[in-house]
Amino acid sequence: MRKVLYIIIGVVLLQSCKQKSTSWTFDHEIQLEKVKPVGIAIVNDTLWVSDAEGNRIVQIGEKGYILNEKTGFDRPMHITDFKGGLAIPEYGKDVITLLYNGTTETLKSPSLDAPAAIDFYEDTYGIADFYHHKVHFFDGTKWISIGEKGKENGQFHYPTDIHISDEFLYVADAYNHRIQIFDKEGKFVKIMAADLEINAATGVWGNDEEVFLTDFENHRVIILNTSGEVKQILSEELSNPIDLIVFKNKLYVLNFKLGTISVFKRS
Amino acid sequence: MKKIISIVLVHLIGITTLLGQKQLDKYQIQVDGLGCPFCAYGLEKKFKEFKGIKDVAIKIETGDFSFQYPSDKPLTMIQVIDQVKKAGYTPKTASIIRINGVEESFPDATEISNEAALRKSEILVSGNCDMCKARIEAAALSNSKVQSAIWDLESQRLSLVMNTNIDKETIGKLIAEVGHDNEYVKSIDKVYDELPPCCLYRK
Repeated sequence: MRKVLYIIIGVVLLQSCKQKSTSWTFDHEIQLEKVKPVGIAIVNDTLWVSDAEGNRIVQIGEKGYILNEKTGFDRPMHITDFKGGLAIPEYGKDVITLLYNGTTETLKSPSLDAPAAIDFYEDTYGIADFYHHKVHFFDGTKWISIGEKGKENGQFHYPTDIHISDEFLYVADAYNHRIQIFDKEGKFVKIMAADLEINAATGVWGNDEEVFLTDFENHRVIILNTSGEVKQILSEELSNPIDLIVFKNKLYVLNFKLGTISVFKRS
Repeated sequence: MKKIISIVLVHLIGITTLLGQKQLDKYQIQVDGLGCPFCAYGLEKKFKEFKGIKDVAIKIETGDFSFQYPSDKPLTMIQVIDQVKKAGYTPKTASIIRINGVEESFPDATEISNEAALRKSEILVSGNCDMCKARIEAAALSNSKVQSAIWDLESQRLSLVMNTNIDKETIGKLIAEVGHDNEYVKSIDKVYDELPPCCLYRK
């Protein structure tokens, strides 16, 4: 009997060790200089932010100072890192601009109407096409068009962000107020966060354990596990959060109207 | 003689250059409650449908939107206001300065109701954001018998100060016409569907 008890206790302890802590706490705020931040990316361990109002992208130092600036874009939205440089969806020009190795080029893509976001995973990439209510996914050999305007599974109402993992595409389906997940053939898999009274799901990011979502009008960040269960809801020091990223165990959240970055640490 | 010919030639070249440059009217609009940037820059995209538009500038914080447009194919104030409304926004003020110096402005002054005949009232109106607030209030105020209209997002209540000789259902109809369901009238689906994405309150 005692042996059985010890075995049970051992199994329970082992399980609890496997589960990592999921508690995020507010650490500090970074005040940006006259930046209306929309998108965030990490390139070579440095923070880059898109300033859609200023039509530029800026490299941000630890204290919020602008270290570098690239101008001349037409409403740059949710940016991402690309080959040591950046991929910039230009919402006003309907193109994705690639800045890398000292060159500037336009990504060849299907016709876009206000591209809001792009993400890459190895040799695949996906674009959230806002006014077309579609996601365009390049699987390495061909383009797959996903979705159409609507509220049903597999349909979008103004998609604003995309995150690609090894298996799935996570799409911030902003004005259906949810995340939609697709496989790499473009088939609908499931919906997340639809029952959380979200108001404008504008930014999505994920890793092996967690999926993060910005709830723009409710000033929250929702943290889910990969099954879609809520792990934590952040609301402290957030104001119209629009995009986010996790880097070196810190969560960086862009607050659009305040022009700040709220930084959370994993406790 | 040679000097005179040179001077005349220089002046002729100058005049030709000036005539060759496009003459532009200046347009300035202020809209209420620009919401998320995806919606706000949609307004800008809507105006870029006017081919030849130049120097488009929009400030989400203040709601200021300005551009220039060739004076040889002028836009009327009605065209400008309609385009703003087509994008789903509510124009607060607008001005056009024509190349000849003539200035047009929107809105015109409206009559203020007799204070003795006013009453306070409330209507429940569905909405989602600051843009909805601007639209709902503007719709109510479009009736000259409404002196004040303030909509609260949290309670979804529109507080009115209006003449005693107008009923709430009339105001409800005006609000439904711009896409907002209320306790008196439901907006038709076609109008609701045209609202900007952040205003889509029906779950």
